Amino acid sequence: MTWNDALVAAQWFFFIYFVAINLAYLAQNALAMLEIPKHIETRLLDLLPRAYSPYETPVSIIVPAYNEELTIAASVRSLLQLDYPEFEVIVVNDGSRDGTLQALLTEFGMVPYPEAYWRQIACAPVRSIYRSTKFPNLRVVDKENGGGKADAVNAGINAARYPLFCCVDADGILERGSLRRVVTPFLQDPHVIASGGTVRIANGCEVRSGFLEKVHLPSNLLALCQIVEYLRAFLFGRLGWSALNAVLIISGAFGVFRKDVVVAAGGYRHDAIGEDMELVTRLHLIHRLAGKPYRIVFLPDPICWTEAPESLKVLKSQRTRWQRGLGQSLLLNRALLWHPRGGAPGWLAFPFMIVFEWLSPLIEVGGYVFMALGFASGIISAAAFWTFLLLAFSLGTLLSMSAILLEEVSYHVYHERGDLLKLALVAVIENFGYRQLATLWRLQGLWQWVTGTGGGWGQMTRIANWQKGS
Amino acid sequence: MAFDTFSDPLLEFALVSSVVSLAATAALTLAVIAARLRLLYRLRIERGLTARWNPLIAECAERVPPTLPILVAREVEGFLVLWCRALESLRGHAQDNLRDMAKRLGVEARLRELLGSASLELQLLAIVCLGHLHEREVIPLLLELVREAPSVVSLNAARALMRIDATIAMPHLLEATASRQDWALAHVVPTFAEVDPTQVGPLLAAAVSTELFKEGRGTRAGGVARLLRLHVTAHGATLRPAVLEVLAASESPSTLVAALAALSHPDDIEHARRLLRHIHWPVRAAAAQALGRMGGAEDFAGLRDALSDANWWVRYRAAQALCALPGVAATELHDLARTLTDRFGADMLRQMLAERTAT
Repeated sequence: MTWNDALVAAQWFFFIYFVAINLAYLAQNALAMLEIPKHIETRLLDLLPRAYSPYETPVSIIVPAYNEELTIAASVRSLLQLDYPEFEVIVVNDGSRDGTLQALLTEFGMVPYPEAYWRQIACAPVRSIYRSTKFPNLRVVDKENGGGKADAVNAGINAARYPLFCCVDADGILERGSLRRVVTPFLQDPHVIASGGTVRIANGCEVRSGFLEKVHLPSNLLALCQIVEYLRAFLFGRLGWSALNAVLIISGAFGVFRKDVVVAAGGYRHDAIGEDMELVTRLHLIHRLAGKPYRIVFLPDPICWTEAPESLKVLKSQRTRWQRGLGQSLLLNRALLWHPRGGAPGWLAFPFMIVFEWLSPLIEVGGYVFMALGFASGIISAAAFWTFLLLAFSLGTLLSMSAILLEEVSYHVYHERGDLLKLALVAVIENFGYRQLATLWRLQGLWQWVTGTGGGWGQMTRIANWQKGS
Repeated sequence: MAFDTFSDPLLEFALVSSVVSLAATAALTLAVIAARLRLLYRLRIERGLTARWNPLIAECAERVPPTLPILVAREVEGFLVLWCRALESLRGHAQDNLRDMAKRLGVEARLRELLGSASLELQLLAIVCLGHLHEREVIPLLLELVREAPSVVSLNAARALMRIDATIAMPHLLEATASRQDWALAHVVPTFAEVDPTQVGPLLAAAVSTELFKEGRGTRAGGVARLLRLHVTAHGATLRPAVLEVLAASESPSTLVAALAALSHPDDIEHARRLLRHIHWPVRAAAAQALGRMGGAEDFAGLRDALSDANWWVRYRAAQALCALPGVAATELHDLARTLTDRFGADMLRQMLAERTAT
């Protein structure tokens, strides 16, 4: 093979990959377009008063907290006001080094409580369990640091008393009806083992007493880019897979699981970086291989809002961690890949994740470098260089715009004057720098995963501007 | 060499794809704008509709005026939502007045049209409204929907049917509750809760007996347990013979758990005592719960033994029951917690005593 042949082969490789990845996303988009009407066609009845019955499955809400002194009290207050007939809130203080525990003890009148703790899943030792004197359905599990969120959630599962548990991030902002909406699939189908919803970006929004009051777009460009990115990831990414019962991620920010199923699976993996994805992929693997009927459901409803990083440093740390978590989850559950009983998760979602999510930063950066070097050295003509940049830009914008359309025809959350224009502009602007930067960070995450560096609780610098007003 | 001129087929393809993508993006942008304009229009209509009809609905709840404005076609859907909301939050004469108002506005014909609509949302709205209007003519259609339609439609049809004529509806709905696994009990219970419990009791008891017979012959499983869970909507005394029949005849753990939950007469406590030693832990836990509800001081020993059960839930329910037993003093329970040789049982009792102190 000559140099020339190698170059031609490389060109074809990058081109075919580029076409394939975009076709795959467009196919997901089409699936989501077909799926979304099913979720919104009964909305009219939600406007009518609803009667509760004693058979709404009770839920244990587990809030893992590590150094959340600033936000934990407001978060727990909001959780206690959720519109749901029977639930308990279990905050797991994972050996925080700040005043998280003290904030909880003071705010909710917590007293030590001799709980007969049932250690169904292994986790770091529990120091003490507290019970609120003000809210009978609130407990705090104070434990030694287990090195990650997974260990904290496992401790919470051990203390949970209800058949369903809902894992909520300590900084998650909910709507009063969030829990009711995410539990609904469990009531409608006994085979549902997990359910999650769309996570939206809360930056710029008005929040009162831990609840979202009014939606505004943020002024920070980085946060705006993430809004469009989240629309793409959730509205057509996960919704498309949900139609095939092949969702491999239920966001750790807000997801509900059947406790017996998770306990039987051994709980969250202690060493998992992306513990949410690892658990869901493992649940697919276990159920598929055992031939048990099951469903893992994704709801497009905006049920949880979260603060997005507004600084490059924090965003970079988040993205590298996500990429490490992705690699680890796929490797640990590789038995699902093309397994004869793997179904859509093993034959479609898993290969998709490997080729278009896990390896994509390597190939995309390779493509950028190849094009740039080829252009600089004259191997690739100016016409070819600019045409391919135009293609990358146009397809990127097309995908973002289709996500905005899905949002507008379904939930139209951003309804202030000028919001649509802003989102459309961001769909264009993000192609010039933001996407490339995110790809570079993901490549770094891939490298960290290969070399085994990084780990532990993801450190997120909270700004939580809304807390000031609440 | 590829990529060096625009005549290259690959490059041509890339260029055409770019142009197509840009055109599609422009089309999507227009679609987004159109969707937003449609939304704004709908919101304007809704605002106007609310301002026009809400005061009138409130007035009609008191007394229907001799003349009513005309309900134009584009307002029907919005009006029906407002009307349903008002009707479901009112009782007695006010509901009758609102039904009268809707009939005089001529919504019935429109509702029958909506029943055949391609939109599931409008179909559901029509079913709910026809139920509120007590439209007897749609009973056969609703019965068919209860049997054959997907869960969301069939459950709404069931509720509408119950509102129109509970006597006709109940046998059908009980049969569907027993057979349809897709009917979430959380949605079924409110439907039965709208009917007088003394009316539900005998029919539920008969349905349980029939279902028990079917389970005995192996033609269907799980129906008895599902039906028994409706006990919260029925008068206990009328259901009692069926519950006892189940406890005497069934060996299914889930059925026994449901029957223990429905047990309400103190004379039947022996069943709970017997089942406290059942081989399956959910049955033992349900028996301990039943003893906590109906037991007396004589159950102390049995529940004390259950504190040493291998299963956490049985110990938890036994400790709860011990704390709820009448005639057992707190000092007695504290003594038991101190002297119990089984560490797990003692821990559980201490937890329950602390819970009782806190509440």
